[in-house]
Amino acid sequence: MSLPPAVVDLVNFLIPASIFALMALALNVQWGHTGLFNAGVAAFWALGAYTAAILMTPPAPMTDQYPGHLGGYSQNFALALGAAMFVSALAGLLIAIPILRLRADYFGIATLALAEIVRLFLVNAQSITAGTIGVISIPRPFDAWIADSDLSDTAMAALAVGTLLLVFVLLEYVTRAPWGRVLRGIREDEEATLALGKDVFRFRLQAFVLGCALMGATGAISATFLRFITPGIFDPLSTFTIYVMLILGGSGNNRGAILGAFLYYAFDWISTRLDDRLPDDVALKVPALRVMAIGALLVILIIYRPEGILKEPRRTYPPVS
Amino acid sequence: MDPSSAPILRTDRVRKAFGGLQALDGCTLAVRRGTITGLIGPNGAGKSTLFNVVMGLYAPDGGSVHFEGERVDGLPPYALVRRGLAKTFQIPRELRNLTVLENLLVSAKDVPGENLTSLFLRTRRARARDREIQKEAEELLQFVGLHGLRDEYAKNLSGGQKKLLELSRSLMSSPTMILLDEPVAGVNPTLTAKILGLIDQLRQRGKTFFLIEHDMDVVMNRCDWIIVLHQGRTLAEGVPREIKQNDRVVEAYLGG
Repeated sequence: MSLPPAVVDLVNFLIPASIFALMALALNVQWGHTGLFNAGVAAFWALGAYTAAILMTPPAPMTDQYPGHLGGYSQNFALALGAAMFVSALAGLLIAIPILRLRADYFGIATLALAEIVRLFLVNAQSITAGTIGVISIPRPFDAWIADSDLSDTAMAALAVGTLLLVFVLLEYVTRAPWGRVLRGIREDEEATLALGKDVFRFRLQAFVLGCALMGATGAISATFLRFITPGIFDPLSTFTIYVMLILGGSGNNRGAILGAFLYYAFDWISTRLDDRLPDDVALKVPALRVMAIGALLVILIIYRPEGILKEPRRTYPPVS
Repeated sequence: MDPSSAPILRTDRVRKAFGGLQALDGCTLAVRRGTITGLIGPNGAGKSTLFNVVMGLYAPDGGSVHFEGERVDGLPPYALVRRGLAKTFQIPRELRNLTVLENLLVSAKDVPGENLTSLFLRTRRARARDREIQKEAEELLQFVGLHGLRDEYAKNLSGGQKKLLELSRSLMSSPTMILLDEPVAGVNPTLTAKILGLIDQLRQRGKTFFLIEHDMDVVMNRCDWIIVLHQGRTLAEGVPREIKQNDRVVEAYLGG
């Protein structure tokens, strides 16, 4: 069965855009609401992706070309998703306990270091991860029922968009609640919030671990969507990309996080498609121009609209009777 | 006032050093319940450090602090807030991008909605408590005269309004004792009178105030009892009249 090209295009756009939006939402809990400068977003994303990949893959074919990896467990997606969230949350918890008391800049350096440790582990622990070749043949949750590639992509889009909506609703609820109010208090002035009688460490830990768990879940979705993953996907630039999306859309605003991710990815998506219509010698230069354009956009944004496209909403409370 | 009434706050030989600087050097003092007690002394005498130690923001190097008869030194600030202590900052520390109302709401205690598990499991109780604290917050804003600015971002308030916000915010946890670090510093005379009037009213409702202040008119006219800190220790204490005439205080602080 073949779907109309416009639907195929939409589906191909929606899956990565939703994945980026989920990452931006997760980062928004940490950075946008709590002011935690997590420079190791890639680490939690990668841990979720590899955990899911190892659990879901069937036994890897042992050939001269492919070294194999830890796995062969053929587990279902639900279990892989839960495990991915658990591993990323646990990693977040273990790194946060010693470093959460550090000042923001040192916290950033420590999380950046964690991301590099994770990436180098993925490159070098070949018997577990197949090194730079990566984990291949990751199934999708519904491969048993859907053989058609377009339909599989459509189902994947439904899964990604559905998860995005679910996470959005969950985060709107917890960040509108008094819990989120304390997070924003901590972001504005940590010491004042401490003196007002809040257990600042506990709130920061909760926000950080929640964000990490959501990054892990997004990793699981990414792995099953891509069908193969390599350590190169989770380089430091991927962390930076998520920050650009969040700041573009509006840090501290959950709608803004989604909007920023969609706009950023739309730019990427459209410009990639333009490449095909350009003469080869020009097309070769486009990727570099694209990065420059994004850099320029970010500079303009920071100067003229630091709050992003959607400002953080002013939280008002109707009078109580 | 009964001078023999049990102290609400007592510090015993509290020491605190920052590097080579001995900010508190065996500070022993007591604050009686229901009083407005002034803490004066030259800059660097250790006044703000003492407040921070009492509030649990700094752990003392030695000595002990008792609040409401319980030993509290080394406890975190939230444990002290739970026991009925609150503190304002010398330079207002408003939560800038939160509204005035939110600054008060975030300062309430026993809020189930701040707990991730009760947020999902006991929403009815959580919502009832949310309404309750909002009512308290709006009453407090009426009390200090900031209610018209309830939805304004705290960063947009004037300096004097921020002082009122600090004061009203500290009341949200229903404290029995409030540490005021220079509540009227840099405030115009009209607003000073207003803030002092509010403090008087609150004292009549049974709250205890311990305040740092450099304005000697305020200290001498408003305080029931004055403690003079010098080089990290208590130099003298007494009613305002005694302090004014104390030779050592005049020499160390008040001047000739």
